[in-house]
Amino acid sequence: MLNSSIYCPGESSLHRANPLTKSTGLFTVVVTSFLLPPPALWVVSAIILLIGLACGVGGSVIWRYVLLSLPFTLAVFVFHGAILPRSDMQPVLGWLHYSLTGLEHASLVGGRISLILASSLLFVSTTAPATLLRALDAARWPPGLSFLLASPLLLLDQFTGRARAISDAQQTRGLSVDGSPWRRLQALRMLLVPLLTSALADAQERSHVLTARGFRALPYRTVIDPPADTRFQRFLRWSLAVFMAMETAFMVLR
Amino acid sequence: MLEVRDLGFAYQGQPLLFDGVSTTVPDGHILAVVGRNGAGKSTLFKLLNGLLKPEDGEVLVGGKSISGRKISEIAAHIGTVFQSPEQQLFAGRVEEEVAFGPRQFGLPANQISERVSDALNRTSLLDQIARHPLDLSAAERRFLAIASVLAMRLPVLLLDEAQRGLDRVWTERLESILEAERSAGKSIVMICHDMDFVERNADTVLALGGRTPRQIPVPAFFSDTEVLAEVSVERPTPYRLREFMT
Amino acid sequence: MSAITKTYFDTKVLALIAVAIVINIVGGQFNDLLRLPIFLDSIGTILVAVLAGPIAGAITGIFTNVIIGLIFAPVAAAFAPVALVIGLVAGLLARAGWFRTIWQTVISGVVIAAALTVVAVPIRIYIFGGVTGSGADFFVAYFSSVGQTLVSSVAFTVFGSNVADKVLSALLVWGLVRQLPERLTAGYDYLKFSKAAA
Repeated sequence: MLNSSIYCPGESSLHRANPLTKSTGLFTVVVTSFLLPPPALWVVSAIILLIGLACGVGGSVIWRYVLLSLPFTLAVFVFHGAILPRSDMQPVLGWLHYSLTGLEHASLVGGRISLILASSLLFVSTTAPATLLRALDAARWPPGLSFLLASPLLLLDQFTGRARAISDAQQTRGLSVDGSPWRRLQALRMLLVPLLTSALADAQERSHVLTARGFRALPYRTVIDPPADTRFQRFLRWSLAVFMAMETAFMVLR
Repeated sequence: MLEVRDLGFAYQGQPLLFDGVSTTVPDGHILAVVGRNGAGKSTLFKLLNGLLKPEDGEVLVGGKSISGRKISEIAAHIGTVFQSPEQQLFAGRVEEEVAFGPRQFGLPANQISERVSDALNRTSLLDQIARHPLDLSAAERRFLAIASVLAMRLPVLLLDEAQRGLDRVWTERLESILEAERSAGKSIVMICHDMDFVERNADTVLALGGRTPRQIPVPAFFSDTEVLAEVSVERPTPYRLREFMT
Repeated sequence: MSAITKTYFDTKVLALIAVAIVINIVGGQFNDLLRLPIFLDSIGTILVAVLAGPIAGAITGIFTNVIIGLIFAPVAAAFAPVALVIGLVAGLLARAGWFRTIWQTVISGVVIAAALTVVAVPIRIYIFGGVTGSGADFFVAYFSSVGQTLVSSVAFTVFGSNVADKVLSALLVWGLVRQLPERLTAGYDYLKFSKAAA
């Protein structure tokens, strides 16, 4: 299901790498994707998927990659290759035309999205959200920031269950979910209002608890169990950062 | 009258939770559903009010099968009071909340407002009519959920732990509402952990969690040590006292 | 960022943003049930914007898309700037008192849709080539085949598919904050700008 979380637990070196290193790597791939020519984009995408296989998350990554990128790739090729009017449109058969520059452009855009998608899937499937949060805390990000990432993740299941319970309760009171569009719009209010009001009540309660616990008393949070980091990974992160800065400068000055 | 015939149900990929469960709740009768957590009490309610579809058997109200109908259609026969009223309160005023159910039946405005004031009167909420539902106390919110169901005037009522956490005054109010509904010929099913409450109010007990859930009259249930142990419930105070005295 | 979170937000607003992000993610669940042609993924953002202002709204938007990107669909992160603009513009409109009456709220919804279009179009065109692999692509294809430029085809499609959703979300928030008991809204500084003039 696309509606379930992507992370696959594992013990590969990519799983064990510090999330900050992995996210720096991801950003580097994203920036680089704006400099690579189409064939390289597709080749690197394939390499990333192979890395996924080597890390034991290949099945889930490739499946999601296909599911997400196939419709997009098709759409971009059809649209730029055959629909969007261009000066070099050539007739193929009857009304069907194609444009070579359009196909080239589609290959560029499609390849870039393919690469960004493959690498972000690899990042997300090898990085547990909780580990990422610990890494951010260890790097002394402000607690407000990591709270905004962590807290929704923790509340998600609870609110999904609550949404379900609300729709159950309202339907047993006679709320019909399959009337005319106008009826369904009214039904929306009966479903959303209890969810929103309970969320507001939650927020009030939570802020009392957080204040009482001295959340934000310090500018950062102390982490008892920070994700492993090495001197090599720190070096790698700095090098990638410098490399990204150079790429960006090149793109701007070009 | 509510009838359950040979009900069978299992959650996907799990063993059968119910297999051939049958029970009858005549008009003017209160059935208590008891059993430990996970015995299937809430699941049984969901099978009755249509939130879940039984795999086998059927549920009948007044002799007519309601199994397979839409949830919103079943709502015209069976009313459910859920454990947490917050899950259903959506209106800005108590009055509007109670009016929602009757309005689904397309009643004229004067009948709706008559039903609303009657239901609020019976739940001691009439003086709260213009307040915001979330400004009420926990007990009042529970009774608002009850009022919303009463206003629909349905032949079958399901109450999920309606007595939980109520003080003596509110418990007595609940008991008098139950008594009035029973006298009015309603079929009432309640999930209840409080065995004293069951002993005082119910006519029969359906004990889930044992090998074969059976419907047993209240005195017989509380005298049957074997069944009590099987579904692991406490005996109500009068029975314990009697045991102590003899 | 640290300065912003420290100075502008008390813990109360942070807690509000956190639950609003969850609402943004979970809201779509009701849509599966009701099958309405809308997204319902920015109700939390607009709610925060009305209760706590444009910066809080913008942050709700960004974090919603980052979190969706992190756990469900990485592509969502690319549209974080769009979510930011929704929160920012909704907050500015609320500050200007455009969430007071029903008609103002409808217009606010339209303005939000227009503002997000301005940000979404360049992202869609330069990063995604104007298509997304969804049903909306047929509209883009239609508009460009009848002679519209790529920019205007994408703009029409984005605005058209968002305007109903944003007007509806704005109306839901408007209806909600009007009827909320004070207990639940106490301490949110921006609400006073959306209270109907006495």
